Amino acid sequence: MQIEDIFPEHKEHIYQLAPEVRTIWGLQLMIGSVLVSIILFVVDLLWLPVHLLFVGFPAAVTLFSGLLGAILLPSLYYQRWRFLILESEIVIQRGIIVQTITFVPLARVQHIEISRSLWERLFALATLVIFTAGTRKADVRIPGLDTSFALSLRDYIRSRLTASDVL
Amino acid sequence: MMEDQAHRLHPLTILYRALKAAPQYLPIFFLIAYQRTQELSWLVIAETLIGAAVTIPYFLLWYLLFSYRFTTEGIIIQWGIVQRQERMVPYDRIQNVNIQRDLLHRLLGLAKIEIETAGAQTTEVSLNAISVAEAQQIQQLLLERKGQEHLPHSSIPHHPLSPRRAIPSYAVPNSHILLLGLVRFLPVTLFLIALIFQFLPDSLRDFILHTVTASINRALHNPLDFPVFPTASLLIGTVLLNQLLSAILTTLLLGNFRIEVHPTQLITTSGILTRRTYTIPRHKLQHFTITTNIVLERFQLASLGGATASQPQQGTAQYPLLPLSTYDVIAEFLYRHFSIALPSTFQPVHPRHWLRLAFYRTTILSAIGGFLLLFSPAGWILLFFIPFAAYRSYLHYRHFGYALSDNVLFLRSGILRRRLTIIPLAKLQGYGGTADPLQRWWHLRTLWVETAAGMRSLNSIADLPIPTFQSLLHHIRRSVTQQTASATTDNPTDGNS
Repeated sequence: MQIEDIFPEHKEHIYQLAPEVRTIWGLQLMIGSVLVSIILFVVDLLWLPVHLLFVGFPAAVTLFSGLLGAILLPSLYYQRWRFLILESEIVIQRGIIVQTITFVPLARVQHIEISRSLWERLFALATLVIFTAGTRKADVRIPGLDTSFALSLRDYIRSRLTASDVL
Repeated sequence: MMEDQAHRLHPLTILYRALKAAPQYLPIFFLIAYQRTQELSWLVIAETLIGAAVTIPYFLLWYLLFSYRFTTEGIIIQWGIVQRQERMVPYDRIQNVNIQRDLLHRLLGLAKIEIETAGAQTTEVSLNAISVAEAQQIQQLLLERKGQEHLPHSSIPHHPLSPRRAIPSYAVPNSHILLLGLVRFLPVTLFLIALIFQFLPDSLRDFILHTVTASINRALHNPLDFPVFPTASLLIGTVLLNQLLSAILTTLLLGNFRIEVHPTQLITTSGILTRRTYTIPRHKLQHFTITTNIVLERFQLASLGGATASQPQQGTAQYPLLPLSTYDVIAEFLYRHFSIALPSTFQPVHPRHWLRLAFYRTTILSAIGGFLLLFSPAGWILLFFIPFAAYRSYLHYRHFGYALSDNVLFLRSGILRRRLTIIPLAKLQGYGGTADPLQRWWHLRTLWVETAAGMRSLNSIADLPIPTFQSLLHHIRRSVTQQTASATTDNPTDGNS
């Protein structure tokens, strides 16, 4: 389910995220796995009735797989992440294991938000969040955009917003 | 009704409010009574009298200080004992005017009038309570003034209490509502049964408990000697009691059901004790569902519900539009008032759908069951369910179907409780597709859609072959883009909702 196959005529409008977002994802995964393995190690040390030789084993496995994931997953995820902004809709493709494609008509957008987390500010990136009245799937986050690009995208979407009488 | 003349509510309002508030004081009363049982009972009486001496003047004062009047621009209400407040609602901001009468209202010959406006989530002005004749007069007056101010809305909505013009309306006979209650499962009733069980005579309760524990003990000691008769009778008794309670509750809630189809809104009135009137603006309806079950289907009976972005107060997800009517009535209703033609045939999804479902369910069951087996042999029970889970997946595949007309998507699903979800494509907030590894291997895709009303995962067509998936997606996309384009060109300034 490639976005390019569905919109062969809009190939030049299909964007990828900024490459720095891979570093952010990798660092976040790394820190997460280190924290989880520390907690596991402490729990094992205090409460698990096993021989002292095996105490570090679950923590080590978690740490190793977390670090491996931090190296491999971000680039795979980055490869899949594409988005396309047309005159009347936004199309987003993402996901490694469960691959998803989402269409959001611009007429349904309720409001737009730009958020910049601490990580993103370090790399001068921003996240564009597009809210619809839908409940779960139809809200869209586009992470890892250059700040100026995110602002111009927001202005473009805002200029395309029209009053819809669905709600 | 004179201009600029302050009106008071009906004098019986004092009694109404006092009676309405009484249940709140009962726990305190019981608490005091319980503490004082060892001592003199006249203390209880004295405390009650003091309580009444404080609260009754409050209601009297509240009544005396509440006033409303009609000016040329709008309705003004003033209220408050310590903090005086005043609110003015212009006539042209009034969306609808509801009259509600609960049991106490009807005993006292009163009515409550609610004025709803566009901006606020809650009712902006409610006059509780005035006499019925006055309520009708006010409703008439407000709607006429609103009509003068706001000519584009040519159709002035009115209430069942004051019929003036021929409006298409449907009534559902109470026998149908009773039948609906008898066949549907309400979880609340289990709680009620537990409550009733508490108040049974001790001997009867002990007898039932003893029978149950004795039969469980016997079954545990000797599985072959399973007490079929007590178990069956207990089950049947619970089911019968449950259905009886559910019939009573449903009839109280939905009895004397009536729906009127106005040009811009639907007005439903229902309830035996408390009459509830819902006014649902037509364009706020997101999707419809027709629910039925394996029994009702044989009699061609089903219920039609409409979902909006907000939820009705009863805690259900949908507004009942036609509770339990024949298919013909429902189809005619949808066709005549919403130009939705129900499809005669449904397309099945790919047969591997059930295989995929069965695979995932088997994986989950064996993972949990295997984990449990580490600790106790009870894990075998979960493994025992695997063939049933597979068969259920197959049945799910057999009963699932979809149909797509020009601008409506129909999804049919459910094994015992069957449901047809009707999603107008103009109401979609977003749509798309997903593919998990198994689906990628088999070249299948899932299509999902979403409206502003929550849809509880009944919103996807799983396991379509890729060409079908792509054609459906293109159809939906074309329809949505066309409709949003036409909606924005037709009425660009209609933000009045």
